[in-house]
Amino acid sequence: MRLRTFTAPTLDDAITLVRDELGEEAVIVSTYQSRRGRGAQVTAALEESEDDGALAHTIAIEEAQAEPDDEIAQVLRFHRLDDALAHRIANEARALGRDDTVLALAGALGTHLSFTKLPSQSEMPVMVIGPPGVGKSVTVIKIAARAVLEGRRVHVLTTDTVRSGAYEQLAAMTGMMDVPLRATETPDDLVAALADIDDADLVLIDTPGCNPFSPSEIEDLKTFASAVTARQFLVLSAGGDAADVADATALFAAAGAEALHVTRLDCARRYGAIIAAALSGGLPIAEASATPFIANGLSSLNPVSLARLLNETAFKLAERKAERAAS
Amino acid sequence: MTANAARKIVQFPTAQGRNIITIASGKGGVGKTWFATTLAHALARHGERVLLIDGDLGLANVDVQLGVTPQWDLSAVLSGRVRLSQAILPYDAGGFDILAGRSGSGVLSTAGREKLLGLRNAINKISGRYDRVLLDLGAGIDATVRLLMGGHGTILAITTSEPTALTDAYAFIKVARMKYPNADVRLVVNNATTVQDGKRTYATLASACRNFLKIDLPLAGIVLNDRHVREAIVHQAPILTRHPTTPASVSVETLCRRLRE
Repeated sequence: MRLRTFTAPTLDDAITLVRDELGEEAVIVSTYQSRRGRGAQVTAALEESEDDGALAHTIAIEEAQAEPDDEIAQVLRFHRLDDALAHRIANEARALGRDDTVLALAGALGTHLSFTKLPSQSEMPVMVIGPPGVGKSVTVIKIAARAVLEGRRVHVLTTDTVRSGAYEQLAAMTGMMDVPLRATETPDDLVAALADIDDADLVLIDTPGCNPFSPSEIEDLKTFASAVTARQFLVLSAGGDAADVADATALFAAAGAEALHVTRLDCARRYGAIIAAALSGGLPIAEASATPFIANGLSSLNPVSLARLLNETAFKLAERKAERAAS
Repeated sequence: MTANAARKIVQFPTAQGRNIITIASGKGGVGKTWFATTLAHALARHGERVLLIDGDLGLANVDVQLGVTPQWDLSAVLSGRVRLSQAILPYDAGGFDILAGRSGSGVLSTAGREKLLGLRNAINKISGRYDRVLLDLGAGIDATVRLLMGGHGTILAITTSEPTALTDAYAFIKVARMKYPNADVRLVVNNATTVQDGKRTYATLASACRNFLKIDLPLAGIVLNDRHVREAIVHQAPILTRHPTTPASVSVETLCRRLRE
């Protein structure tokens, strides 16, 4: 802040001086009028806030690294959430003033994340997208299985005509459910195949793994999706590097993903990537998968169940380490 | 270690640090250390158990002003040679405890982030043993000041009527509120020629804080200018004992009573 004091015969004169020299942004913070006619003094202040953003950021990082005693921040750091984010969420949780760690964390998570369900029926086809090896095909089958159990008519299409065994893997499972399956090589084929389907409650489209850091692969994905105005559900497996996963999710979200489904919860212990991904892409979390089994293979997630999961895995490992140390 | 014990290791932050009064200024030379020692003395005279920490890591002053020679100081604590509790020295003339900085060493000002945060935590812990801890921070708003500053207690920003003291105090208040949006930050106007003059200084800064930072800045008190202040410092003697009725002493007494309400 800059301070300048102006002296003039009258208060009005002094204020005019302020406006002339410092402009409209200046704020008058003090006025003094001499009673014996010796003039007036006005002090004006001008704020300089260009560096405030950088300073606030530095301070946020300093604070993030400064509080080792907070239980929730510990839990979040265990899950490999980055320091600044862990600290922010922990602060919000603390501000909620609840005694129960899980509920406090759930409250804070609830303000940052939204949750939805995978569809069992949909007007538009539902395309399952994601990087290679995350479990897209299995997810397609799990969605199909649940819909079939609910009595829906389900069709499955796949655009993965490259990976050997991709079609066969799907066929083995759709065959068991009596769900029609068809492979399509080009967007036109996909459009045609869709047109052939008369009366489905749900059309699922499996896709080949897409490397989100490859612009051409993303373009291909968008071409297929837009050809049939498909809804895109992104599948990611739990436990990846939070920063990588966050970057990938942002790219998929930009390509049209509307929600994020997380797989292999059972095979990972650190779930920070999920939160980072959902935040980075601005995507709601559409359930999770914590089992290789198809039946009942989808678990719904909400702020409380996620908070409980984060809290319990963090403590279980701490306990096991403590037990090993004690023995 | 049982499962319960493992859970107990991590606790929500308690009320640690609520009784810490951080004294800072922005600009050096506004009388921060004198004020800190005198306030510590005033609180002790009200029967409080007080610890005064000289947190100026570059140029320590508390021990010099009080004429004490500590065996251990903050540099020994930071280097790990002694625990913080071992470096504390009773100051009999004032009836409170001191943790001295180290004058002229400058070594402490290069202490790394980890050490400073460790020090801050140690200060929080030891605050449990006292009614009040006064932390006399170094001037400025650099990382060292920011890292040592806690947010749970009261922060007193010291200024004089000088424009540079005002702008630097403003800068400090801005940083303090950035760090701790809900912190209890109050202003002390030191060296005021009259109460009226002190109020004007306060009003100026309060207006700037209201307009630019959108915050209310309460006034902790106004300390009147007084030649006995310098005289007591030169004699390395506490002013409340040496000149108990002089205006500066009365000002600090009043401020102390208001703080204790």
